[in-house]
Amino acid sequence: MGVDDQVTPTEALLARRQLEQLLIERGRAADAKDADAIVTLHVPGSRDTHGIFDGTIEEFAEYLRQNHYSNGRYGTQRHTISNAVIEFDGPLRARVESYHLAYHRLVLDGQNFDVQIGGRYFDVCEKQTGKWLIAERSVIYDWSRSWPVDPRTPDDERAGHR
Amino acid sequence: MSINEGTRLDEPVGEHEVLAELLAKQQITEVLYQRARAADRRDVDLALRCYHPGATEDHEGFTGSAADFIRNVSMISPDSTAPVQGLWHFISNVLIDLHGDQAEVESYHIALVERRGDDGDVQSWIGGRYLDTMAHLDGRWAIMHRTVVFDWSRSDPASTPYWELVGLDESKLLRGRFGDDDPLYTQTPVTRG
Repeated sequence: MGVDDQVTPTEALLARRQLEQLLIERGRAADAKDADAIVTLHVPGSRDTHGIFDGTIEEFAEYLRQNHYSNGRYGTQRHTISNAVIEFDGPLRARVESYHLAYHRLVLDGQNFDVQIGGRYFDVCEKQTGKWLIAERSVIYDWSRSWPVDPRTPDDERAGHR
Repeated sequence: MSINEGTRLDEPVGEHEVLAELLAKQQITEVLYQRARAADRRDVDLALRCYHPGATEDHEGFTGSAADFIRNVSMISPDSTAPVQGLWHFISNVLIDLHGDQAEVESYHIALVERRGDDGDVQSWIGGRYLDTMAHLDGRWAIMHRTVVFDWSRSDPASTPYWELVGLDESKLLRGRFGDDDPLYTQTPVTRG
């Protein structure tokens, strides 16, 4: 385990920073509900699996466009990322486990919910033409909880529908 | 003590020194993440590797050998009978005060303990900090002493999860596991221990 012999400590240091930035950019693209931006962060045609969805990243982006990003029941979402453990298979390939704490607002039959999901991403990342991209992503669901939102909550509209 | 001691921007610093400091801070941060993974995957060997031999731990009333804590007292001990279904440690706010081959490290965590209760499943949240003394010995950074600080906690009965609210079939999701059957080892070629 650890840094492959082919990767110098300095290269690995820079690559880890770039990989962490990639994970954060990926979270931001999801939070902006920008399916096009999501695709640019993955290797074209690469696999994205949540178990229940398992296909190419282009198929997943289309699934998001048709469902989560156009259905009024999905409100604000925010992904906070941490705990990136990175192992290199060479200077151009890395396996990355990261944690995320996700917030979702759901609007269901007039009842709003604040929802949290704690999970992890397992990514195989590859450096192609100078840029790190996700070459395979598995999304793991560790836990979840929810609260019905009291409609009297101050400023609730601000969190609601984006 | 300034956290930026040794790297004041108005003083010229050799490139080698800067790289050495960055590398040390990276490796120290990875120890924190590996220790979290060890707990969350119930991986005793990996947890032990995050410490140097003879390391000590001050943790929830326990004071003594870190290896003894991990093997015999903690929730990942093979002997533990605590009704724990899952652990989850989210690490952030890592501040490293580096002094050559030693470092004082403060980090924040939000931890979840999922357990079976008499009246159903319970999610217990703990917000706390690790105060670690780490050292670079035998070519690696690892913990010499860990003090775990508990800042806040709350417990809630399990509530409706996301997948149930939106009508997803939970059995088809990739669910995390508290052990060696986690997708970490089946989805990706990550070595345990």
